[in-house]
Amino acid sequence: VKRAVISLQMLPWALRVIFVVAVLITLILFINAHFNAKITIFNAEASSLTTRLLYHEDIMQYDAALQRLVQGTVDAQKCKALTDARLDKSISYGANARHIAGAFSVTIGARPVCGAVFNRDYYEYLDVQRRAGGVFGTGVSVKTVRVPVRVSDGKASLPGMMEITVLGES
Amino acid sequence: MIFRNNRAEMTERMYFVLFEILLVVLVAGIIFAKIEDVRTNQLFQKKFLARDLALVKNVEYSAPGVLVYAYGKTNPVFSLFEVALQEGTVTVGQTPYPFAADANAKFSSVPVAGTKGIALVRSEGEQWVGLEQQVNPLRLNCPALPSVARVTLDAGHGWSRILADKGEPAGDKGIETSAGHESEITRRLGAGVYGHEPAFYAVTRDLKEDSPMLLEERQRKIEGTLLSLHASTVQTVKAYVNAHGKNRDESIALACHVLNAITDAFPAAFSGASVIPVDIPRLAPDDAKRVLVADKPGVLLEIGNIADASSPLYKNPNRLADAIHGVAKAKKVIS
Repeated sequence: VKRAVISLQMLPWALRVIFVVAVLITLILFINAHFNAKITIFNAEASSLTTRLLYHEDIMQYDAALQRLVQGTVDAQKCKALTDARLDKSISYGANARHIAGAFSVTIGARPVCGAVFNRDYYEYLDVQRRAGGVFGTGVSVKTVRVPVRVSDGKASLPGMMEITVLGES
Repeated sequence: MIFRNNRAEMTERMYFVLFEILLVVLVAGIIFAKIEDVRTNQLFQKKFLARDLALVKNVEYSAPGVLVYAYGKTNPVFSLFEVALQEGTVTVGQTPYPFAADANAKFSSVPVAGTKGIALVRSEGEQWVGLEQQVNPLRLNCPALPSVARVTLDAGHGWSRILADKGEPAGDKGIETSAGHESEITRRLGAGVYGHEPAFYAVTRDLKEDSPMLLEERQRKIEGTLLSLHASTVQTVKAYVNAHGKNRDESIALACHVLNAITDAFPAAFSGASVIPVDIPRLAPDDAKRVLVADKPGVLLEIGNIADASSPLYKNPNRLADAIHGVAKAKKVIS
């Protein structure tokens, strides 16, 4: 009878161990499920958008005879004429506009030459969030690149800088 | 303690044990239900595929020029899910993911399910998505083919077997590999084209026996449109034209149609096809593309890969010649 009582006393402990193991497994599964739900590819998306701006036909110089963009040379006239609306049309998330946003600016020294923003509303929303971020983070992913370029106005070509910032929710 | 005697105490313990068993069963049930849910929905695969396709589309739009991406030829996921690409959204199963389209470019798409792969194509002003087996992914959008009165074939590379046998300076064989050399390969191809209709073609170098020849002499021999035949060491087919030539547009149109004819004839043989206008004065003095004179239409074809013995250059030069001749004769002006 005594042995039976000891066995019965051990049973709850065995069950408790099983319970703790089950809870741990659940936790791992939830973490796994969270990662599945939050596969973040922001960096890759931001890189391709950056490239897209660096090869944009409305920003960069185009040699019609060679049918080639002149890589790394900004056409100042075209770039100045580029509006947000036109940029939005060429980089269009359509109904998914609140997915990612970006802006670029071209400068010669401290002098701004041109710039535009795609998905401006969303960009401004994220930008405020980014600047207001506290100790728990901003909730905004940011990728900024600065690329040395030549800026051509058709007559002269001067060294300048192109800065591209892409924002997305993290 | 609820019960005061020993038996009652035992009963109380039993209740706790039963409660804990119930709890374990409940937790285990929830875990298995979750696992089953993840397994049947294949959540990760769908999300991964949707993002991957969206990224490919983003990259396609980012890349300048024509770009073709044959996706998932050996990827079994296409047989598991229905994949649809609308402008700005990839949907895999019920899982959507956005990509940045270009509203200025035409977008065509077909729903894809139960197939082994799709081709994502970006050509001039157009985005195209379709079943891989239904497209020649290298096909270019060509302007109308110009009329051609006469075509001059420029084959060989200026190497003389006769001079070599005599031990004298024998000229240039061009690219030379263990599989063959450019002088011989292009001469054979040129002879194949010429043989279709000798009256329609002129030649710079003799197609039966290659020999050294000055660039100026070859240029002087051009009658009508020039078609200069070359090979390369990569698995592509390129057509160079003079960017500042008087007949630039005509040359581009002809080059484009020749490329389409070649890639149609050999759908899997080449990894890329492009028309490349070049600024001739900037080229090196000995560059072969200098044969493209400014006052006559001309195309310099570079068909690869000369190092690959399974290339159409070796395996099927007649079909290659048929494809080239097919374009040349399509707009032939009968004199």
